[in-house]
Amino acid sequence: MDLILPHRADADARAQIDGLGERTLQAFDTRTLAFLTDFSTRLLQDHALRSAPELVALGYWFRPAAVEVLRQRHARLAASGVLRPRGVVFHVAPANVDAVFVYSWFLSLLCGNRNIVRISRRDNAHRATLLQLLADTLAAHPHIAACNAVLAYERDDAISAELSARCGLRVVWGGNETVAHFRRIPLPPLATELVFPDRQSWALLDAASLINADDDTISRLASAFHNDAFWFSQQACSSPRAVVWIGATTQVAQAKNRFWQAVREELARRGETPDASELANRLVAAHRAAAAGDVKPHGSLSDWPLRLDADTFTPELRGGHCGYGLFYEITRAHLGDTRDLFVAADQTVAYFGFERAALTDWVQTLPDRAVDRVVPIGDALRFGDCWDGHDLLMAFSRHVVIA
Amino acid sequence: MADTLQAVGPFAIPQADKRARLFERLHALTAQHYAHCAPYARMLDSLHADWRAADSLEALPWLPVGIFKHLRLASIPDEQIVRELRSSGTSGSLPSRVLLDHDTAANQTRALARIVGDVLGRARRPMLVVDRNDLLRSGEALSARGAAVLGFGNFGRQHSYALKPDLSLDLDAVRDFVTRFADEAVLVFGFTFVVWRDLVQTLRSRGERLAFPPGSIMLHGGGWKRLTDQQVGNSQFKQAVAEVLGIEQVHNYYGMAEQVGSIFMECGAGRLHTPDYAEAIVRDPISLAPLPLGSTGVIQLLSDLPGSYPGHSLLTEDIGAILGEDDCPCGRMGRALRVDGRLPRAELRGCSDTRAA
Repeated sequence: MDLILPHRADADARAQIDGLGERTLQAFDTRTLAFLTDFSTRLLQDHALRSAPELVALGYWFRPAAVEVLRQRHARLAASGVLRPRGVVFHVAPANVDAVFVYSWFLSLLCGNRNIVRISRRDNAHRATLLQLLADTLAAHPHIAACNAVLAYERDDAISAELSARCGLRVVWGGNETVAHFRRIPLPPLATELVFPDRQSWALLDAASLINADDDTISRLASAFHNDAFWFSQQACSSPRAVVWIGATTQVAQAKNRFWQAVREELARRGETPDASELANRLVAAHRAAAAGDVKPHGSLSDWPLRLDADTFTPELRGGHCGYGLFYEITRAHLGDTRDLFVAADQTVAYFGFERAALTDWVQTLPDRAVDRVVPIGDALRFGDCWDGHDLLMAFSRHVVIA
Repeated sequence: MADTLQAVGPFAIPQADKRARLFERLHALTAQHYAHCAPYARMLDSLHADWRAADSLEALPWLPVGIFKHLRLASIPDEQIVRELRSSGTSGSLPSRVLLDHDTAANQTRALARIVGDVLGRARRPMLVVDRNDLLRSGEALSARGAAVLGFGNFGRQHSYALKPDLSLDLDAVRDFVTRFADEAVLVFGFTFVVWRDLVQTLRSRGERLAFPPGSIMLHGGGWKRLTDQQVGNSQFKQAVAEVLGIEQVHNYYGMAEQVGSIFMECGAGRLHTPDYAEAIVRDPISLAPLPLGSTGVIQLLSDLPGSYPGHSLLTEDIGAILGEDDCPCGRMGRALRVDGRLPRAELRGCSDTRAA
């Protein structure tokens, strides 16, 4: 077990964890706010991280004005009493996405918790820079540093059990396998658990709106869709993998042509080119899909993005999806005809061409657990303090009733 | 199956003639698998809908080789399956599953015998297998490495193994083998990386040199990936084998668990040769269009051996080039091939920790 943050002279992970018990913080503690302001400023000024949009977004997310909005919302949540910390929160971070562990950790910190964060050793592009920046910031905020421990260790149930035994809340990111694994490791009676298993996401487009939109709108839509679908190689749980088109068949055909042409132009504008290894992955995914049921390629198998027409987004299509620019396209005449498409694992629907009121009605027709976010195309990957159906400010707190 | 092309081979048919014969045979195989393997038929209907109109080897439908990691594809009823091969796969990935019936297994064995016989001659040689001596004892489905040792084992006699179960060198066994057969040319067989790491490098690090009898031959295959990572190429490999073992005749072969028996043997001129019943096509890695001779791209492998599973036309993830047709200095007919390595693995970026297959 290695202590990654904060940097300590003795690098003693256990001493750092033991020390957490002696510290306390209030929700939206002034020391936390000062730390986050410092972190946000350093991150947004870091030239090396400019090229990582997900980290720039992280910097904006914790800038003072945004934190103030969170503070006000936190205050309103405690209408019939007061929100208090849960104590020590143990976060298990996903391996492939750099920024997620910071959101989970800092939101919990804002709620007044002390934190143990397990991160992966897998080397991502900006990992070292981000960790150095966090280390420098923590060094300037000794109380915050003493309230947190970021660790790395190989899969080791004894360590996970020891850390779980110390926490009041365990937060597990990283998919079904990781969730299932941690579920077997006991928690203290008073502790609770928040888990983030595998999810899938959609784009929802209204054909008529797309046909009627002006060219500017379409270019902006293509750019927004690019951010949703092509960042993280289309492998984030919020990345749209299936596209539902709403409209009459001829309208949809026309809308598809216009939309995908704009997406191809956007890819060209950004200088992005197809990759042979990603194509190999798409070919396997497409063949798995075809073996399981009826799909029809739109164009050639070597196309990027690769579009496959399907009737529904079946478990086989979901399970075999590889990312890298593969889209299952489904057509329905009316928004109301889509109920059967959605399942509990569906998380985000990124839309274009619908009114909020219509979407509100529509969401209430879906199966109970299906769909946790309905956001405009372009916002699919934007982290929110309500995630996977949980209000994180609430989940990271206890509601103390004062009557 | 009486009508496979291997009755003629293994490197005798000039390219134009071979293309015509192979096309007819592979087109028929496609129809046969289409009729008997429902998931294969669905894949063709959806993704290769014009397969019936194919008029050249290049136009035949193919499957991505990775599909065998995910699907159990058979064109025969389960009760006719006599063997299931499992590829070891690269670390962290799923193994491929290949299902063989009696005819396909027999055709593979015969095909391999003709190709290897072309290099070794008819006589069976004393054989040193550079692998763990318990490889064939563990039950379960046969690993591709086990299957290869079993297959190539037919071409030797008085087999010895160079490694212990923990893959450490059994120097006594190797010395004993060299002493026992000091007067006759022997066969040394193993996986490229195992030969390199566990025999050649180990002997080198111990300062040992062995003198295998003159005329001895080494056959090795299984891929260069891990050697390329260490910047070791074919010429360096050969030089090291000559230096440490005294073996001058070293042949690499290229082939995969998904098309066992269909191997591409390196000739004296250093080229890999397509046998009469198999073909290699090189395609542009992005457009998948067939490339002319000499151009580097992804390799598609065709073989008329797979009768029990639809593996007769596979798009691999290997990179290489066709070096020539009917014009190798060694005199073998057909296409000669160069294999450079694999496509790099695509980067994983998802929220889930589960490794993609």
